[in-house]
Amino acid sequence: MDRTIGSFIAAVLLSVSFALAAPPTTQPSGTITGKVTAAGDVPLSEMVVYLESPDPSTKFPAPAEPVQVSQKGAKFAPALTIISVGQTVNFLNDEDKMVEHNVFSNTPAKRFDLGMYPAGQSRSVTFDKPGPVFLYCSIHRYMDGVVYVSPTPFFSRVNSDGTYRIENVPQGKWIVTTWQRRRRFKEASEPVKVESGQSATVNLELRRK
Amino acid sequence: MKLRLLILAIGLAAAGCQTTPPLAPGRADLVVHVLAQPKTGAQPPPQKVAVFDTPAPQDYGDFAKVDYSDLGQIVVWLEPTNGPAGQNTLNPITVDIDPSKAVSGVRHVASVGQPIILHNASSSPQTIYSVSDGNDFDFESVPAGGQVNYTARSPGLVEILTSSPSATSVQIYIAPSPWVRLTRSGETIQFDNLPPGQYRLVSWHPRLPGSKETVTLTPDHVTDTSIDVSVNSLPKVSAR
Repeated sequence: MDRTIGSFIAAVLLSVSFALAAPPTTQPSGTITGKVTAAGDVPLSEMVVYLESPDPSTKFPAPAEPVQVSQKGAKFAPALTIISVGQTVNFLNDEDKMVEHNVFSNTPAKRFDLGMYPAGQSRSVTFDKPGPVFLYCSIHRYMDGVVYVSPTPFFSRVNSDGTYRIENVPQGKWIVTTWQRRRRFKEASEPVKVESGQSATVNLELRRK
Repeated sequence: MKLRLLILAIGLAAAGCQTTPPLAPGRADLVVHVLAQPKTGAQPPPQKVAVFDTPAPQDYGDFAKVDYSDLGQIVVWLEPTNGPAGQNTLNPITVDIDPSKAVSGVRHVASVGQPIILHNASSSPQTIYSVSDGNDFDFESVPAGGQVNYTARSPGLVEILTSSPSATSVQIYIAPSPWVRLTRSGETIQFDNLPPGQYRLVSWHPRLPGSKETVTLTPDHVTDTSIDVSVNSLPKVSAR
């Protein structure tokens, strides 16, 4: 094969692979903002708002960068970690004394046992199914946390006043859905259409029934 | 001295006579020893000292360890392997709901189809509701001291809430079978008067993985077995 043609094909393949792996920010995108409220003005506890595609077969590349969860002081920090499907979490035992931890989960979205490991070591888990994954330590009774695995990379933790903001959302149709760590209401969902360069507002009200 | 010996003799005789109710003809009993297993290789927590003149146990704060020898909230049930259990009379259970009292964890068990009486044990009207999947209900403004009835529909954990936002939920585990017990590690439970046959014995805990055992019950026979909950059955993730 001619060397010039070979170089041309390689360049085309390279640019195609870059295009496929391009982050959403390079696509026409918009923003979704809104507020989650609850019937009876009940204060909202830890909550997530995430986007689903109306087409369940649509796949989104997971961020390559892993997320870290600390175990210092026998506490998971952050206590609520939000990632997207396919992303990895590093569970670091960063105690400043010789304390072993044994992180595990028996949640349907991910069942795992990291084994006991000492301070200074880390173990990794890749989460391949959406949904909540509740974390515990088999040694320490008060250690609990959660990894919420969003079906897409488009999510937001809800602020204490109920507001949220999701940026760099590719234009098109989406479904906005809530998830409550301490579930007091039925989850809420609303469809939304995102236009390039525009901001869409989706307010969600949580109800008992 | 003679009196003490006489009392001791009577006590021993009474203990010797103490027997479990006789098996109904053609039926079977199952005795289950319940265990919570710690992580293989883990050091047990400091022993408790059950006398009053020793210092209080050290407060380990956030580093307090799980005591597997006395772990509660273990649910054990028995289900026939060849399909659902036949018709059984399920007596109602009563659950007190009082938002002013802090409760945590699973406090009750029931079976699918069993009536649950939700009693407002507080001094004010309460909305009593659940948004648990398969067992959602909503009873508005139940008067103080009043009660409402709910029949369990689906197996799984049910969290019963009130309109009081600061109150913790009352948790009930619904088993798919009429033979269910709420127990703790180290206890022995017994299922009496069962139809002979093959059963699946299942354990469940809110955090730890449960387990399943197959047991065959023969007529006029007491079968003895054990079941556990343990982190050791989870898929291991090795260090990278």
